[in-house]
Formats: sequence, structure tokens, C-alpha cells
Amino acid sequence: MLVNSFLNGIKKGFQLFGSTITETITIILLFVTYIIGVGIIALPAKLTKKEFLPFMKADSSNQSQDKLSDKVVEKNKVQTYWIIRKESSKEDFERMF
Amino acid sequence: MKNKQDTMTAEAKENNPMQKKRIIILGISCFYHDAAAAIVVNGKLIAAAEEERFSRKKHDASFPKQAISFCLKQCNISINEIDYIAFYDKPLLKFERLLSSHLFAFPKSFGQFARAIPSWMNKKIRIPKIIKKELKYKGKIFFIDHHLSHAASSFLASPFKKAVLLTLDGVGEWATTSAGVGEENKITLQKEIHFPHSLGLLYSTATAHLGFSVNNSEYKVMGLAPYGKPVYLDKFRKLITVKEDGSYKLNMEYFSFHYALHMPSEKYIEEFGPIRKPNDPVTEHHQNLASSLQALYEEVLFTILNALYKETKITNLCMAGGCALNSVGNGKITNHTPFKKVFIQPAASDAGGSIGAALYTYNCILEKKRTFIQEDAYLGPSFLTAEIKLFLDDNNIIYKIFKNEKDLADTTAKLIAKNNVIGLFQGRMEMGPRALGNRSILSNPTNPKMQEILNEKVKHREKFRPFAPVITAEDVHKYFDIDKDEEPFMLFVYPIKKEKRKLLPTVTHVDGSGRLQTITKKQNVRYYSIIKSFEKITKVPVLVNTSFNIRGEPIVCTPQDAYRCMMGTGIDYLVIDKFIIARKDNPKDMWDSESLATD
Repeated sequence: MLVNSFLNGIKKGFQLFGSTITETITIILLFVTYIIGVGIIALPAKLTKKEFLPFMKADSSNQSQDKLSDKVVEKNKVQTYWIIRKESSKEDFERMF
Repeated sequence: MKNKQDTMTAEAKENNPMQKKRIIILGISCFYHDAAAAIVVNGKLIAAAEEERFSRKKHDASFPKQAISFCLKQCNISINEIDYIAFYDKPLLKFERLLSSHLFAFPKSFGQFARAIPSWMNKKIRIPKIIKKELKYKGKIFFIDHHLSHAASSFLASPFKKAVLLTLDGVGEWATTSAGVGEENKITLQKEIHFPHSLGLLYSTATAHLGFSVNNSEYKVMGLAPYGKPVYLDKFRKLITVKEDGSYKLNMEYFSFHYALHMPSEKYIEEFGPIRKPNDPVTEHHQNLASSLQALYEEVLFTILNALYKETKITNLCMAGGCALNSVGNGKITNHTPFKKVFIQPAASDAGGSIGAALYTYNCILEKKRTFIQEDAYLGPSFLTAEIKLFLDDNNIIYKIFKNEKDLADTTAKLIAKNNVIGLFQGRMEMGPRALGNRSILSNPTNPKMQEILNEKVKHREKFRPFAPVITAEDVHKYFDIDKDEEPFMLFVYPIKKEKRKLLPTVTHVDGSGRLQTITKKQNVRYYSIIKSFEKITKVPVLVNTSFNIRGEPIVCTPQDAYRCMMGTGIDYLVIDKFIIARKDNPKDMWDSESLATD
């Protein structure tokens, strides 16, 4: 009994140690990937002001308004936030993109 | 074993008069939330179910192997007989959006990156391999855009030949909102709003700020809203800019969901106060925030819809996506817009994407005529009387057998009238988030204490959340101010007539509204008969209908789940097929579900 519980304790300890090591290595690898994979593209892109997400700059119309219709501010440069969707061909549906 | 595809394509088979014309398409949605499978045979939706019902993990997002097994079993076919599999989104476009967010937010997004990337590498960009491995399927796989799947799940299941389509959710690949037109078997989504600008994510951010779980408890915020006043509406308007054409963008200074693990930004917290902790009391401030948010959501929704009508002049509307489950907003559409008829897919969240992907493949890619209108949501598994009896006998459960259907309806109605809480388990399980009479808990809506009783015995909900009514369709206009004759899917909230509100205290929300379900004899004869019998006793053709589940668990699927749920909660009787089981008769199986409940 005592030996069994001792061995079980050892086993659990090793499992915990293993999972901690795995998680740590994963985090380190992900960090390296993030810095190299994302950072190398992101930094020069930021310098050249490339927009990765649409319409991220603040609008002049973001002040409090009494009515929603008032928010349709003529002075906005952007006329619409709709993005026109390309029509898909049948072949497009066979792809994951 | 050889795949059917290897020997003969579906098209070739159809052209061969010697072959039976049958095209079978399996729709799959998974890996985000609400994994599900659906099967369409010759354009008809035969079966559909969420994986959570089988795995018993709420909102289970894993590969829906058990749901797929059920769908195949329901059609009595093997995977080799599937002609096409349709997946409900385009994984690589989603991955592109994820990478773009990280490029935008570098270096703030490492936390989100570390959490998301492993699952992408292991599962999300390996979908064809996973499908082939898990199902041993070798045929063609179609990848239908997320919002196209949503739009198809609504329009291709609707009774409309032509309709305006609007899909609204958190985010699909890039799109968060899509609009277009459906006509016959053609769907054209013309335009969309792209991430991070998302009405769904705005609602979810406010949900997180109010201390409720995201992608799960948005309906709680909706239920809380009528208790407050929209005093923060002007402040909320700062969060979003809406154009006259219905397009919108978020003011991203208030949000951090595009790079961080929490959704509201520091600026949001400065504006609206600290994030409520889940166990903190709900105060008037929280009620007012919920009310203001709901008011803003409705304003934006109606602006989009009015713009779409102005453009198309079509009076039919189909909606899907998580936001289409906002039943309060849905109930006001016909009053605030020119749309006359509205159809919403009952499984409007991602689970319904499996239905949409399969229907889209049949009707739009294979260009087949539409043959299907979704009239009910009873698409899940059912159990034979013999199977149920075997379960009861094997487990030494004490039960009684009803003499006939009339005896069942009358006895059940009498028990309800005596303020007992009844679990009703019959027929095929519902697909979608609502229990609609086959996996339902029923009780007496006329008892002013019933909300308290239900919460104490079973549901343990927040006090502000109302229970929903079910009413016989022929009586709906006597009790509700409603612009149609039927609402079978419980997706719209309507005002209860003023003179009836005192009569129905359990199902009348604080603003006098109710999220009703109507039922006809044709739709569900047993459910209908119970209400009719209850009416004979009380003169009221209305019952409380709430989902049959333990708090934090999915709706019950099997007789075992139903019995376990009754014995773990305070449900007094379980009416299951033609058997009735009293909880008090089976003390050996009693347990306390609250000791394990989450959320």
C-alpha cells in the first residue's frame, strides 16, 4: 500500500513536471515565433503605416449625438463602411480561402 | 471500403435513370463554439444536432463526431454514402484575419497569440485532414463562407421565394455583418462589414463588462435591459458610428478584443465604470447599462434594416447569426421597419451554420430547386418506447404507464395546475438553443410564486431573468399584441395584452413582454393537448416552457439525461414517452445538481 501510494505520487509528480516543461517550451517557442514571425513584418509595416485592419482611425463623428441619424456626418471622408463582396465561383467553394 | 465518390459522382448518378436519385450532403460546423452536424437529402433537412447534447459539454466546439454519427444513423446510411461534405466557413481566411490582427497589434497581442496559435496549428487549418481521419471520408469537401452559411440557413429554410438577407454575429472570416438578397435558389451577399467593426462584438464587450460570460450570456443582458433606463445611450453612441446606408464602424479606443484576452478597453472602463465581477450584485447602474446597450443595438439594427429596404423594396426578411437570437430586437422589426414578414433560423448561432452549408451546397452549388421549408426544429434524436422502458426497468426506476394520450395530457395538466414542475421528454430533440416542447420543463404561469419555485427547484437563475410562455396558436391574439398568427420557434418577444398580464405573472417580464412560442396540434400533438387540458382546468391556454437542463449543462438528450436532471433538481415529475415518473418515488437516485453547477 505504502509503496503503491509512493509510486503513484512519483508518477503524478513526473506528469506534472512533464506538463510544466511542455508548457514552458511551448510558450518560449511561441514567443520566438511571435517576435520573428509577426514582429519582423509588423515593425516595418508600422513604419510605412500599412493598415492591417479596416477603418481603424478615429472618425470626427465619434462625439456624443442626440439622435442616431445625426451621426451621419457629411464631413466624414468615408462615405460608407460597407465593403463590397466579390461574387464567388463554384470552384471557390472547394478552397479553404 | 470504397467511397461512393470513387465510383460515380452525384451528378452522373442523377443522370442515370437506373440509379435512385438521392444526393446526400453532410454539413459540419466546429472548432469555435456550438459544433454541430446536419444532413440534407435531396434538399430536405433530415437531421441536425449540436455536439454539446451528446458530449454534455455546453457550447462544445470540438469535432462533432457524435452529432455526425447521429445524423448518419437517422438516415440509415454510412459515411460512404455521403456525396458531399460542406464545412461552414473558410478556415484560411479566418487565419488571415487572425494574423492581420496580430500584425496590427504587435507587440500587445502576445497573450492572444499564445492562446490561439496551438489550436490553429493542430486543428483549425487541418480541417480536410481531420474530416478524412475522423470520418474515413474521401469525397469532395466544400467550404462555404461563414456568413453565407448563416444566410443560407435562414433563406433556404424559409418560406420566401425572395427576401432581403441580413446576417449579424461576432465575426466569421472577416465579415461581422453581411447583407444581400435571396431569390429562389440563388443567394447574393452583396456587402459586408469587416472585423473588428462588429455589432455582435460590441454586445459581447458590454456583456463581459457586466460580468456575464461572452458567447453564452448575452441573453442575460437582454433580460436585464427592461429593468433599467437607457440613460447611457448617448455615451454608448460614442462607441459606434453609423452611416445612413446602414454601414457602421466601432470606435476602437473603447475595445481591446482585437488584441487582448479581455474585451473592454481602459477607456471603456473609464466611461462606464469597473467590470462587474460575476458574483457581485446587479445594481441599478448595471440595469441602466444593459438598457442603454439594448437600445443602441436596436437603433443600429433598424438603421441597417431601413437602409436595406430602401435599396431593395423587398418586404420579406431573413436573418441569422448570433445577433438574430436577440428576440427583443426581433419582436420590434415589423414596427420599426417596412419589413412585413421575418424568418429567423431557429439555430441562428454557429450550430445552424452546418444546416446552411449543407443547404447552400445542394441549392446553390449543385443548382437544385428548393424543396424544403423548415416548419419545426425537431431534428435531433428520438428514442423508442421499448428503449425507454428498458432503461427504466434496468435501473429499477418506479414509474406508471399512461392509459392513452388523453390520460397523459389530462394527468400532466392536472399536475401542472397543482403547481408541480414537470419535465416533458418526447419525440425528437430540438436543434437550436430553445426547448420547444420535446425537451421542456413545464409549469403553471398563473401562480405568482412560480418563478421563485422554478428558480429554487430547478433553474437557479438570476431573479431578473423571465420565463417564457407557450400558447396555443388559436389563442395568441387574445393574449399577445402580435402581428402574426404563429411563432413556433420562440425567437420574438411581444407585449402581453395589458389585461392579461396579471393572469400570467410568471411569464410577464417587467416591461409587460413575453418571449412566446405558439403551438398547433399539427406541430406537436402531445404538447398541444397538455396545454388544452390545462386550459380546461384553469381557463388559460398558456404554460411556462423552459429548457430541460441542469444549470450550466446543455439541454437533455437521452432518457438517462432527463432522469438524471429530474433527480438532481427539484422537478416533481418526468413525463417521458408514455411513462410518468415521480421524483419522490425514487429517493435512491436523488442528488444535488447545484453542487456541480457552473455559470
